[in-house]
Amino acid sequence: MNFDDIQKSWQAQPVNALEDVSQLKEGLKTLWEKHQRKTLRNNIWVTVSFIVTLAAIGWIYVAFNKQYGPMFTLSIIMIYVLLTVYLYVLWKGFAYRQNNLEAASQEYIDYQISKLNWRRKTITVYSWVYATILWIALVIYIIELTRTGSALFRYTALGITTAYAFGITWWGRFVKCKKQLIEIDDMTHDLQSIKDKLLA
Amino acid sequence: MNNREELFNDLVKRNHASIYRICRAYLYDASHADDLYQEVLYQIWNSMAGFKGNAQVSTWIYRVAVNTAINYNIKNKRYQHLPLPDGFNMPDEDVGSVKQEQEVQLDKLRYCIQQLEEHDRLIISLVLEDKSYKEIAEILGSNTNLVGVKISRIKARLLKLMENTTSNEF
Repeated sequence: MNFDDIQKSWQAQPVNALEDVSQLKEGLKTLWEKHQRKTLRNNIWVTVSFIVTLAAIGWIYVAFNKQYGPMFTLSIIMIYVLLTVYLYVLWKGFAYRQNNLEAASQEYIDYQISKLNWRRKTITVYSWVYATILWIALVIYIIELTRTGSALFRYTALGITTAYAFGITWWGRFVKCKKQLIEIDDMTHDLQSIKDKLLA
Repeated sequence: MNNREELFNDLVKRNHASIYRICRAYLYDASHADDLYQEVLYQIWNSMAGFKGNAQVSTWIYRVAVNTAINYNIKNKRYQHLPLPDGFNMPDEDVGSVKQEQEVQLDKLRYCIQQLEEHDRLIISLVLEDKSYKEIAEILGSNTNLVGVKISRIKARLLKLMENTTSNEF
């Protein structure tokens, strides 16, 4: 037996795959729309909760800005910017969800690895940067607000805020995303391995 | 029916057999191959809007198929191609009388392809579809000479497996 015989035998095999795509197409559309709807719902929920938060912060600013100094305004601006950046990234991710599947495999694998690296960095680095900036904004806000209050009240508020901001980030990083990080590392390793063997 | 749907119908009609065979070469189990086949069609449908015509349509289709297969296997590690349990694929005693010689040959070929490593199965699936070294290099994003060397090695390995595999093994 030579390779041509193998090839003929392979190509002559019966193919039971669906050729009439009219039914399948509806299934594909439904699957795609279902997937998009789920992401859309999640994004809308986050956006609405952020809008409520932004509105509440805006109301606080309008109602009390005359009573406080420029640090109060700065803290409000920082919180606004952080929440807006978060929403922007959230919706940008929804609009540009692409897999780059039409690229050559080498490019595709590199793209997937870079996406995984980005996700990894978001969990391990960027979430801490975000939490720290948010914490700074809240600290400025609290210091300004408790200027006339007692030291005990001020430091209690700062302590609770600090514990909450970094506690949530720590929980996200080391508990909630622990499994996700293991999966990311496994997938990165597998992709790198396929790339090395397929293309080297 | 809009243009996108017409194009999709046409692409599937002309390429469904090749796509299915690629799935079958990559995943030994027919039900998993069916899942992958549907996933490839799903991704072709989704990727159609992004097709800019920089590559030939056939190259584009094969790229989507190969990349989807890579992605599918990484995300579904349970479909790893470990040898199937003894007896699972053993032929019936009267297999010779029931199965046509051609089917036995095809089963043997599938079994031998399954013995290849994952990345080699992808490459050989394209070779079996009569793709040239140049086309395969374009699909993979590799060098034609390098692909040629790899293909020669994989072909030799497959032929050796075909020679050394007896009907009791698959």
